[in-house]
Amino acid sequence: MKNYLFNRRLYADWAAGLNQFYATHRGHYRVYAANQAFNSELTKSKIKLKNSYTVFMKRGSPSYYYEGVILEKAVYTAVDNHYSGKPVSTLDRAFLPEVISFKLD
Amino acid sequence: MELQRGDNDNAAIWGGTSAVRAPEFTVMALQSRLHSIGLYSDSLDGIFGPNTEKALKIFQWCLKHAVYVMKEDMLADYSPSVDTELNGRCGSSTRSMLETWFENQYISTGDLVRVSTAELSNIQLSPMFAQIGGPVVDRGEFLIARAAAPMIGHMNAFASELDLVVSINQSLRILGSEVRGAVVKPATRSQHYIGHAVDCNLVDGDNWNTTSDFRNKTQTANADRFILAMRNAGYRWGGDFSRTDPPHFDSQIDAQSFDYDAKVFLNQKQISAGEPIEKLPVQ
Repeated sequence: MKNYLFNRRLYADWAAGLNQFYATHRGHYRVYAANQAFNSELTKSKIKLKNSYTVFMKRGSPSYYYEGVILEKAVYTAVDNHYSGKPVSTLDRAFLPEVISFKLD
Repeated sequence: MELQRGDNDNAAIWGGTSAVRAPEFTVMALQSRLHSIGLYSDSLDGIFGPNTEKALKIFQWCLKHAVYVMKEDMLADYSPSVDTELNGRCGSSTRSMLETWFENQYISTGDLVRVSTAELSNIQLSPMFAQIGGPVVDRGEFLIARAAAPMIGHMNAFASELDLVVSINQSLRILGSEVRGAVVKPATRSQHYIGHAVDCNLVDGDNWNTTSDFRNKTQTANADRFILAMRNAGYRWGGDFSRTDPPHFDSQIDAQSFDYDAKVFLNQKQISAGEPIEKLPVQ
């Protein structure tokens, strides 16, 4: 993620969703703020970065790129269902972010 | 004589000036009354500081705006009738109302209500909806401020006309609940903290009209019609914010106003203290 100190109203909904997901999946995920080096790596992979984004990565699984600010918990749930091997439902498919070729080495 | 901020029983300052004789109603007596009606939890020290002032202002706000009070652990309707100034000072009219509340054993509470999705044809709770409110909230219910309940009625009516389903992801949010284990600092002010906002998806057949759909302009025409109807009814849609927040709708109270501060205190207390919450049929 980058530029997360944005508009206060947007921040409230984003922060609440991320914190709730993290609190209920503690130990399964690590959350990092994107830095310049990470942005450069993504750019090398031909990903056009927006001001705010989230990348989900798991070794041996596809990576997902969410453009913009995540405001729906269903996005986290859809990725988590996929990463934890649960069946991906129709609802999950509606919220799954874009698959990117960028991999966690 | 009006008790006011800076007054101090120990220093014999009342009404902003030093006095030889203590008044009949001291700062400590005021704090005791405010404590008994559930608005003051600080020490009864006889010092009229910011917490005493805030508690007194919230009481004055209740006199104008309260919908409910608690009496013997039960909710009772409250009809505000006194137009007391919201000044945080305790003059004769405020004191008189304090005594009335004390005699009637009234305890302040918020205006949260329980709304059952079973009574709403076109509103459902999303699978991601996290139930809050403890044992007082039944399955299939969500919490909203009574002042914002008409927004839910409008949502249901517009969704019904357009054959949409409003899938609610969140309504009331608990202040401070995300702090433990938070990866980012929670917001300090939000319409969700007072029960005046819902985050939702407008489900149109197979299309969930996600945030990504709105960003990519692939939302359905009925979603646009729904949003227009909500705007025309006077509600805010997050998609109109400078940084868009498409799932968000609210019946806004200025977050910098005392109305907001009072509602945060009362509505969050209603949850944290396990106060009763009325089930409200939404028209």
